[in-house]
Amino acid sequence: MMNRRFNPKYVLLALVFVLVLGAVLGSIFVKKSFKGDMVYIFPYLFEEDPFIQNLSTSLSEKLSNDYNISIQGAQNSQVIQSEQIQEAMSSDPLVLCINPVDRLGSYSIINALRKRDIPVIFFNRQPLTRDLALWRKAYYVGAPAEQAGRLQAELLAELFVCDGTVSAKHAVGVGSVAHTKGVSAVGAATATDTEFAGQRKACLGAQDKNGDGKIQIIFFKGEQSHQDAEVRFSTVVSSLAEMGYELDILAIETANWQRNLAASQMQNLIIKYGKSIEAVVASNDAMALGAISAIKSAGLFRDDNRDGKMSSADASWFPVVGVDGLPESDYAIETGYLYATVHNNAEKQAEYIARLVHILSGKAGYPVNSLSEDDIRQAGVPLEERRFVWVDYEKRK
Amino acid sequence: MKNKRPRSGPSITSTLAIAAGTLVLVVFLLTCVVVSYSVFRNAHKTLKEQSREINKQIVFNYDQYIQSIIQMANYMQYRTLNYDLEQNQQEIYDLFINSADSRSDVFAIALFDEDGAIRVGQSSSTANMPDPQEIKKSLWFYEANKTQEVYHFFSGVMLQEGSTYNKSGFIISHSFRYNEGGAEKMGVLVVEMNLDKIGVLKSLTNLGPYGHILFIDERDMLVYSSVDIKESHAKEVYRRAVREDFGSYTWTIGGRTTEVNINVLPYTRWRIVTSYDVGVSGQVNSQILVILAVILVGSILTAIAIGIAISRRISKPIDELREGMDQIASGSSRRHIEISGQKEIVSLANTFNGMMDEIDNLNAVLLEEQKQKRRTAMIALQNQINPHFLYNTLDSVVWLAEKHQSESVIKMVTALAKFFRISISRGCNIIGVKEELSHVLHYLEIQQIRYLDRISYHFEVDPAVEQYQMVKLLLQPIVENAINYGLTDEPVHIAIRARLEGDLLVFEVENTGYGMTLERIEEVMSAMRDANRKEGVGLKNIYQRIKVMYGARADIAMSSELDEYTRVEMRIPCVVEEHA
Repeated sequence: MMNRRFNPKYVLLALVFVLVLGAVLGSIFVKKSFKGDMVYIFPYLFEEDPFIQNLSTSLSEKLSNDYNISIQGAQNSQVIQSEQIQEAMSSDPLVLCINPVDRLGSYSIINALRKRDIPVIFFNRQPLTRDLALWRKAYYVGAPAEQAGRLQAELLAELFVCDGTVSAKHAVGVGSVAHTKGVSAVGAATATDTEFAGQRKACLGAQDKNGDGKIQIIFFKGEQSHQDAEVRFSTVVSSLAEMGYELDILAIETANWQRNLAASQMQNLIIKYGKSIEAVVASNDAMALGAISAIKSAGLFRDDNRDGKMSSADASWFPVVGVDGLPESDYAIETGYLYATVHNNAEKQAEYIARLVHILSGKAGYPVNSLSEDDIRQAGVPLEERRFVWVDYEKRK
Repeated sequence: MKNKRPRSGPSITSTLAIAAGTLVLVVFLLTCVVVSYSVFRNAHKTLKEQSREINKQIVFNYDQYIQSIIQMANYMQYRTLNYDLEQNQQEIYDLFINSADSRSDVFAIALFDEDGAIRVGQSSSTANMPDPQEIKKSLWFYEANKTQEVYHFFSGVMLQEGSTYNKSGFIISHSFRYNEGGAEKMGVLVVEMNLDKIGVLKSLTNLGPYGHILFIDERDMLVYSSVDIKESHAKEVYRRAVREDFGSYTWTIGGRTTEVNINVLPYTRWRIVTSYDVGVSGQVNSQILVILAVILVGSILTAIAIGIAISRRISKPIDELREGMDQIASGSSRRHIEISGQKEIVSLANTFNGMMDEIDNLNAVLLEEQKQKRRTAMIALQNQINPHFLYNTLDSVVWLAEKHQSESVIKMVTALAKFFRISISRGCNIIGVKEELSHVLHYLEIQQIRYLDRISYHFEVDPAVEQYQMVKLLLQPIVENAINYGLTDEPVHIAIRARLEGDLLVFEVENTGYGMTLERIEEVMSAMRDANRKEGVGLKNIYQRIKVMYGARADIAMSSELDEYTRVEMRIPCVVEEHA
């Protein structure tokens, strides 16, 4: 009992205690195992937006050989995206690729990344130029939003051509009945402008079904109040105006970029306006395809000339225009339901983003902290205005 | 014995109590550390999640709110495009007035043309409008023209100079298209907002007593605070928040734990800071710690109590056993220990009791032997000093002296002296066989003189016996007996023989006379052997003495032939001289 010698049993017991304690505390303290070479991709949405999904997946494939890739959709919530970015920043990532939910929200994100010296490539939604200028390792890869609207306007203009003939469709007598009270204000405003109206009336060609010299048009916008949606919508309107077209806007629907929402809205519009619709312009393909599915289920288009596809030759047809150029859109164009789309080149954007990631991560061999614009151009990235890489939209019909 | 006693450790009771207490303490502390850590951690995590969820809801509410303003502006844009400012001035004017009036949080809405001149706006406010050149220089005008697709939010500026509207607010500017004289023109729409609605939205959420919401613009200026910003808690949150961009933080401000979430306010470059008051920091912890401490003390005391109880049960019988042993050791009359309890203790007690029985038995035997020894010693002493013999002899000496038979007196006194010298023999109990024989000879010489030659004797001694030792005064009583029984009307002749029989010394004392019958001999022998019978004292003493001294091998036998002789034979083992 009073033996002062160390009993080996006690030492062993103490050792076991310490080990158990260590294991328990260790399991609590140790966080996820550290992953080096992290590159994060933050799309504002993932599964719900096919274009962004394509772009993100394609980008991920290009990078996955050299980096640990993590793709995290933000469910269209800036709060969620901010949380994701904050989490990512703590894991010492090489580069972040962010498709911001909110363009203006990028301001704080850029500030935070600058403080932590983390390079960032924004894509698809463009932060303000002055915000991007805050951090020399911040870049933007995307298509110019105004261009999409302008090209959409051009595509419509290619259809509504003054060929001097009176449309056969006029004879069908889809009438001015379609002039509804909803747009009477426009009518009232333009009626006084007899000179312009008179000129156009004879000049819109066959697609001006009622021959009133105005385009009865429906717009599908992205999110109400969202900057990109605004840009695409307002440029198509302003471009058409610039080209001298007068619009009779039947409706501006906000379908939040979503196909199903656009389909159900289109269903109601068909009931309301039916054959008086002369054009549908959607800010993305998903909404355009949604509108088309409503047109199909309503049986609005008929293959009058029985050539196996819908076209301007068919009296019931009117143009539906989208933006993005999804694989599914190609098929819709083939069958004629989709008149045209403005192809947003996801593949090319992904390629440029991937090249920028290589440059900014240092793997391309350029000095990361003293990058010159020439370095970046030399690496095959067409840099403009110091921080921007523009990938042009392309018309597709 | 005492020096070798091992040092004793602590008692069983305290050992068990300490062991139990220590075990509980260690296990409890370990459990406490692990459990409390994970509990605190989870609690904090839950709290953080909760504050994040609340924050998300708040941000969502303000998102909706900002959207509603933008929608209003979009609607105005859409409606305005259907009018011409020249021809439909009243309609456009009504649109602006109605839009402003429909919302309590809109203070004013105005349309400026590209030159900075106000075109549409509330008539009451137009009077105080600054100079168009000033307007053109203002940031809100510049930004709206520069980045047309975006709504610009500005805090800390008011549209009108000297506005009586004393509440602070913010303005929103956006490029605005309108038709004038058939031509489309670009202007700037300005919406001036007050903070009423923002405050209302705040009150929908519960952020705790010190919780609040701050809006911070891109220049880190405070746009809105749901509490008085001079209040130190909010001031501190603001001071720290401007250093961060966004994210979740746990700050301790003024001793209170605050979960702060900083987020981007959608559609603006502003940040919204929600501060969720968790409470006085450490309060929850200390409360739990107090509870834990109470449990700890309670369980240690319980463990010690249980330890003491268990050890009592174990040690009580041990203590009883020890007490019993102590009592026995200190000479109590108690001989047995009766204990109920653990098997081991009971068996220990039984063994002890058996041992005690054995000791008692041995003691009894020893006591009896010692008693016997004492008794025989007394007898020997009595035998040594036979006063009657002395008185008779002295009487004879007196009688001889009176008759002037000096020769006989000398002989008798000399024999008496020698007789007593051997009797006393310096206190030694053991003497040589030769001396014993000469003692008998002296005795016979005295008796011969006393009985006037009616006694004759002769010795037949094997010289070999003389080298041995023997208990003294064994032969003289036998000879005395022989004279007493043999002296009748006829003179008696005593024959004394000594010889060796193997390793036994054999002494024979034979006297002439009537002799004894066999029955008589048997009776005398049995009387001699039975210590409890009073008759035959002389022979019995001898017999008991040789039994005590020499054991079973010593014996006395008698034989007789009527009218011829009576013979007593004594056999004792040969003993060589033991000591000098």
